Amino acid sequence: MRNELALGLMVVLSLLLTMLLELIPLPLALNLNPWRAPWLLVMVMFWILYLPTVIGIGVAWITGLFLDATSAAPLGTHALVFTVASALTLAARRLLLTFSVIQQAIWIAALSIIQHGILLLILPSTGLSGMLQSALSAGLFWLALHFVLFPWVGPRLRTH
Amino acid sequence: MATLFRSAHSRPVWLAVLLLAAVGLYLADARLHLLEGLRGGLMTLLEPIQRVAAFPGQVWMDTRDALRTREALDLENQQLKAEKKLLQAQMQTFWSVEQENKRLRAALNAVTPLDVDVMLAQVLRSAAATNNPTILINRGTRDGVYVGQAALLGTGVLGQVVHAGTNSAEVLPLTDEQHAIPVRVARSGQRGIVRGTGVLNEVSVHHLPKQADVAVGDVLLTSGLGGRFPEGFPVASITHISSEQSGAFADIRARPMAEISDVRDVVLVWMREPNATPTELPPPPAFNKLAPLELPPPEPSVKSEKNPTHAQ
Repeated sequence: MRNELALGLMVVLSLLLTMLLELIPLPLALNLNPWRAPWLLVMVMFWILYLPTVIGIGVAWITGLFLDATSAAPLGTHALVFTVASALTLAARRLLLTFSVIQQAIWIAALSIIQHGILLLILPSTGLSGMLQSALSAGLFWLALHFVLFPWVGPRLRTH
Repeated sequence: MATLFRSAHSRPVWLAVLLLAAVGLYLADARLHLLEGLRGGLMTLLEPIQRVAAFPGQVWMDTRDALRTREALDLENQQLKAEKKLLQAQMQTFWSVEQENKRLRAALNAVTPLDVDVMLAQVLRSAAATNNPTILINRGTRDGVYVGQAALLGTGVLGQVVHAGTNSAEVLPLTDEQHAIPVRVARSGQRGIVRGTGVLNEVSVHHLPKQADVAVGDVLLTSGLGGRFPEGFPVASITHISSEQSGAFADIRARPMAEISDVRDVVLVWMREPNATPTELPPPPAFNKLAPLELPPPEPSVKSEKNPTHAQ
């Protein structure tokens, strides 16, 4: 029980921290915005992949809704993106778990491109610029997450 | 710990429900504009994270301020003092002209222009600092901020409030593609619409005919039509006119008066019916102790000011 509480706390805390990453302003002069990864998407995908019993599509949907409230997109946009991405990841979960980290990172980069594509459809002002940069940093962020969190989450891993 | 709907059969149903809910939310928000309250509530919940996210930027600004040399501060102080004297001199003529204007309008039984209340707000996130093109400020519905409210800078119009939480609000700058302001040319009185282009230092001017009396350098003022923006505030100055475009209207570009890329403080504006009748005019302001700019929030009656949809 205590273990599960810690688990839930860990998940919530990590989501809050990644939300902070989404919101933190970067100095304009460096022009780093194209390199912003979809931090929250990557974090949610991490938990969906490794702890699908704790975080389901519902949590992904709610997280997306909160992200909507901070973005210029209409409500529901990121909720839709996160739901689609979670469904894809869940469908491919067993395959993904057999992948190496690099292959998983490529999957995440592809999801990042899907997110950019859906946003582009809904908000044309998003533009194509930054699609590849953000996909690349999404992949790198996945590697970093794996490095930091996998030793902690790996032993709990059950494939079912 | 078990999640809801774990069985293999119900997962597609749950997925379909969530997808439909997301699409429904999207339609209700983007097409019907019904969800301003929900968005305000979510913004209120996220305010602590927004403040934390704004913290490094503020620390950076503060340290930059603290590290300035004494000479630079002295120089700036002198400049400000000179500027203040100049403004005070102008203010004296302004006051007498304003009173004269009021008396003349009263004599003609003309409609008196709306009075304006203002409040200063601090910027938590500037326009291009994240992927969100809006400016986040630290005032919300608790201070009387409402959606559609006009926001100004010292130099000109900044934009309007698009979403409001309890203690924060998002201001859409006038350079955004979704923003439009009704304006008139200060010199000739020709009316047009200023629309954003998505670039921070350029806007386009629409509905001015090719024969219209405009020239490069003309200043565009808010016309007050539509009722969102108070009348007579500078918006932009014309930089480029070309009549190459087919059709009756010229292709006109302008540069916003407000420096939108580097905003630290925003002036929020409330418009209200003037209540001072010409017989009981207020005394001239005491120039050596100017009233602080930050006024208490206006009465609730002001907030319910109607906002015709013209300006959006």
